[in-house]
Amino acid sequence: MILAKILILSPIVGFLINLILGKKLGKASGILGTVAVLISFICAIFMYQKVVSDGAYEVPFFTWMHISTLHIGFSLWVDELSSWMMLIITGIGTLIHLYSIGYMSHDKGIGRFFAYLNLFIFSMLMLVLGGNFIMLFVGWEGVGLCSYLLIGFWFKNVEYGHAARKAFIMNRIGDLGLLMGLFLCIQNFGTINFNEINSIAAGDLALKASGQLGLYQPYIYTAITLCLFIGAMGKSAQIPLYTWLPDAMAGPTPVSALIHAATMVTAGIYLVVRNAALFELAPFTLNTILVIGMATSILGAMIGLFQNDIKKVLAYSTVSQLGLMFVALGVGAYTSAMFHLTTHAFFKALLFLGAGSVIHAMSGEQDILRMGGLRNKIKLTHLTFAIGTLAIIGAPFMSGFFSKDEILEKLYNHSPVVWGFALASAAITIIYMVRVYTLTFWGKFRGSQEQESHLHESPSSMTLPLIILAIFSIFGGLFNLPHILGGGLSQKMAYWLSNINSLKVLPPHTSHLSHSTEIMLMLIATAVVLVLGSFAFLKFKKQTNDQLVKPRFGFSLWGEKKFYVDELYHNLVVKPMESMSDFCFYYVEHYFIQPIVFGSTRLFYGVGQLLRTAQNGNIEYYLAYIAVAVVIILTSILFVF
Amino acid sequence: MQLILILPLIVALVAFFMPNKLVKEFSLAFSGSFFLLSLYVLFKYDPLNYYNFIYYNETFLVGTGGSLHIGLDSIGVMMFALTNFVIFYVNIMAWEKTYTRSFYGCVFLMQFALIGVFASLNAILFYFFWELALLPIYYIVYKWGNGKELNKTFVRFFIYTFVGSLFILAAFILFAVETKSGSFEITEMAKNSLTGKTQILYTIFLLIGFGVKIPIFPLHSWQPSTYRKAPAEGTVLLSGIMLKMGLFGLLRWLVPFQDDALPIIQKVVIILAIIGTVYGAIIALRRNDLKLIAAFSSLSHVGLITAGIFAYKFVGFQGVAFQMLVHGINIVGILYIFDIIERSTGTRYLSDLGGISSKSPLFSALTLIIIIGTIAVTPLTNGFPGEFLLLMSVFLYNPILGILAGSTIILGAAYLLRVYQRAFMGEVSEHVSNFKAVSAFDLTALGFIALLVLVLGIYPQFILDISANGSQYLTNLLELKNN
Amino acid sequence: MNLIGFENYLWLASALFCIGLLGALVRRNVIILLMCIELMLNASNLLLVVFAKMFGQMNGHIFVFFSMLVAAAEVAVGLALIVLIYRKFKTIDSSFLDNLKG
Repeated sequence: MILAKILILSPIVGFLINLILGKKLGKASGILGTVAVLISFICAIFMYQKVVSDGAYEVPFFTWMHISTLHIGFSLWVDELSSWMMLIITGIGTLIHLYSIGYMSHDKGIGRFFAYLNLFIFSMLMLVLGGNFIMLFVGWEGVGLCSYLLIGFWFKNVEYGHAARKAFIMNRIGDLGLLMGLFLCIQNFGTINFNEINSIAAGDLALKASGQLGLYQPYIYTAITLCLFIGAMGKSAQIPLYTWLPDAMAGPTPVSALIHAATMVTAGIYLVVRNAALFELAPFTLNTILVIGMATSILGAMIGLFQNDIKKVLAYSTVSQLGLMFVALGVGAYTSAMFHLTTHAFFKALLFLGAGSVIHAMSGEQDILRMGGLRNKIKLTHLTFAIGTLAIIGAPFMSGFFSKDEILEKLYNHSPVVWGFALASAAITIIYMVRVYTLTFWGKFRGSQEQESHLHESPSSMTLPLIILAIFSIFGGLFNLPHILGGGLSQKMAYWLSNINSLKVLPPHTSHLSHSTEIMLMLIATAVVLVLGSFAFLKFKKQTNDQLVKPRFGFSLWGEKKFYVDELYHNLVVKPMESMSDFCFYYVEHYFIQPIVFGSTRLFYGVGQLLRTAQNGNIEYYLAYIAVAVVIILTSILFVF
Repeated sequence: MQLILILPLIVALVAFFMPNKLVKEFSLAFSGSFFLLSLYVLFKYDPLNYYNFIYYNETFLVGTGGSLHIGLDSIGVMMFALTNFVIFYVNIMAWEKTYTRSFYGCVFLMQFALIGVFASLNAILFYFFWELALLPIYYIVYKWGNGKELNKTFVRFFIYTFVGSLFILAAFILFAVETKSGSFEITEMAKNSLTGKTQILYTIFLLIGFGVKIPIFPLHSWQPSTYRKAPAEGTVLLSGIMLKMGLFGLLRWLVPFQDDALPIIQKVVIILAIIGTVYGAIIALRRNDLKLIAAFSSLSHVGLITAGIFAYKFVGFQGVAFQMLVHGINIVGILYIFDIIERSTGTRYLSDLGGISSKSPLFSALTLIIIIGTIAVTPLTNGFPGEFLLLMSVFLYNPILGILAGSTIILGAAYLLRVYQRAFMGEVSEHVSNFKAVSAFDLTALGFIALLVLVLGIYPQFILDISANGSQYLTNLLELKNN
Repeated sequence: MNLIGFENYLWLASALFCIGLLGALVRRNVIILLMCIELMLNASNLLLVVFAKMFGQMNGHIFVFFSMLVAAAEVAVGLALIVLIYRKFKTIDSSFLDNLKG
């Protein structure tokens, strides 16, 4: 209990101190922020052990809101899933905080930066630890807010501000979906507690398994899960709400690593896994997730192929990998998605931090066309970045190899066509990642002389996290080895995670691939990696300056322009909205609303005008009115009575 | 304790005759102590005992149906506290300006009338205070307003709202005549019920009357121009508390008398309210004048509150009560910020602003907190519980309308963050370059609002407990009458 | 009195009243206006007396005393006003005296 409180409160304390005293603390604020998250990490380890030994437990804080039958407790639910997420968040969080001390050392707003980062850690912990939808929503909005603050961290740049606002608003579209899903749960189930919802879904799953009709209509589950998935779409950057994530790279690189690669963007996957039982009852939603995930995966990879900004490539790669995780969710491979989420957190954080180190060395340059040949200048960064690249492309026996292979295997089991698409996406990933790596570290230096003279390896506070993450990127696969390789150690994480309430109740998957098929799939994937990887490496290594900078045309130009999706949205949504706003203000207000008020004033004015003609000041007229009135009254009396 | 209600009148009379030099300090001191007093009342309020603090019943004006029947129930006591809060902030905002004693007199007269509106348990008394509130605000906006065609704007505002009020009087008279009771006591009125056409007429009259003041779309046309030309303090009074008069009026004088619940009227009002919610937010997306943004944002927020009232649900009433309070706090904060910007830079047009963050980081941090609180449904700020419950009540009434109303969480974020980004982020603009430092006085006052934003967001149950009784009363009444 | 018959008094009073009213409506001279008003007043006084006699009650007689008193006062005030009006406007034609219009 006390551990959970420290876990939650430590980042908040760090946030408050950094916010209030940030200016005075200077560089010490970085250390403070890091220690705050480190404390959380230590607590998380102990809590994890408690879950391992005693199983899941609830930590109530206080009653947040209490409205008739709806009881919204400020409480945490610590189980296998949340403690796993907790470890990732605080673990990688600590490393990235450590890295930021070096990375942000020249920035004046370092106190503010660490305050926001700590607030983010708090919100993210709320998101994964919340025992009900409202607590999840608290964290969900909190991380969105921190993301907004951190993308727009360098607030003097107008472009960055735009990117921040775009991210916030696109996330809000998803949030609306989540909110509606939440209302639907309240309306139909009368509860927002995950465990209660799960037991309802479990009841219906059991009924369904025995061939009976469920307590609730199937369309209810479909509606709820679709709404939840819209929320996941926004936060996890899936089509059509993915365009904010590449723009979010405007933030400092550690932010991109922590929020926009390792943790926040995986919240959508967490949401689906947390409510897996509901999703299992809605096959339509699962198919939708599969299709959208696949489309996002391929689109993200294709755009990544043509980008020249090192962070943009990584961002599209994140979009693509998230798509792959959703594909896994779509076929019901929840633990595989979580496994890939974990390894992805390691190697993508590593890649981003490596990219940050490169950018740091290059004095802020992000264009890979102006890099090249850095492998001898910044050796450690090069080594770790290479490991990250190998991990993400799925080179044999790296962490990404196992997690991707597991997903591919599950997809093949579902349908070979889906497997084919996923493999294509993975193949494109290999090409663009090798491209980035090769263009950055091999060949000749293409930047300016001034940049070359400043080239330097980053300080140890930045390289230490790189090394640790590199180790995890190599060995992360050990968490969940496939059956054929692991023997007794295999599928540890999958067994462990399937203890959580939403996964426990799922019907067991009956069909398994034969070992020979598994080995065949693994060999195909390995062959693709080796062939495409070496091919791409050789191709890009040889490319000269002229070949690189020559203007693109046709399909690749489309790719470079991100398939004009941003422009499409601008013309389809933003512009109509703006014209609507002006139309309402200049026309509706003027021609429809104003006449109502003018009507009421004109009415009185007109009546007044009419009456004043009678009041002409001439005494005879008044007398005449009196006389006429008397006559009228008298005659009316005569006739009426 | 009943004397609390009379005190503002005495203070107002004193302020009217004070020397101009002293009146500022005098007013701030008194409004501050009123605020503290109302906090005391709020904390001491016992939700189980309906009118437990302030209650007084004395017949006077025999024959007209008027009586001095006053009492603060659960939602009333919240509005009472809000009134004192807003008046306190009006005095704070006026601190750095040169207003004469008549301004302060009017402000306190306004306070007297507003408290009267929230406390009246007699329809005629209610109407009396309702009209009384209109006079000082008219004087304030007219005397200290700025812009072209002041006379036209404010006479329009006056006549428009006055005509609206006449509908209220007509409705009350209709009620008394039709039920043949001739009584205007709410307790007596509750025993009778209207039927058929009379009830429809009563409902429509009150809707028009209160709808003008709230304002419900499409009765809002007085609002943008009045907000734009009124002095900042006038705008604060108008949007901070006067529009709550309308909402409160609906809760006290309309909802309890909805015998057949009139489903069609209910539907029409909710649809209009949600149109107003979306419409206001869409207009606010592109406006350049900060005060216009405040006006349309107000329209958008109160639209949702109105929809919540007419969802006729316990969660809705809870949301309404909470959001009325919170909107009062937040809009005061927003207008205060806009006023500081205008004072420090001499402009309130977004196109002239930019980079205030570089000039005054603390000011912009407080602004961010208040803006985040005003953006709908951001957890752990006071904007969450109210809007969440309101959206929930609308959603439970009709999911499609719920989704439409929910679009404000996107649009609200869009227009408010636009303001923040344009005014506070980016490079320092020409107007901002000689930004006068925000005084510690202003920062403290804003800091208190920011604190309220967070405290009410983290622990909303305190307010929800107070309003629960009133909401429960209304819900029970509706259920009783509909079964 | 009975010789003449009550209805004749009523006709006379009506005639007097109508003459007065007509005079007040058509003449422009304020003095004539005042005289016409006196005429109407006296017509109603006559009616009061006649009805009082007819029903044998004293109320009518008392009213007449009152109204004679008021009429006397009214004439005094009225004539004074006319003098003042004449001094200010150099006319007592009522059609010129229309400053009090809406």
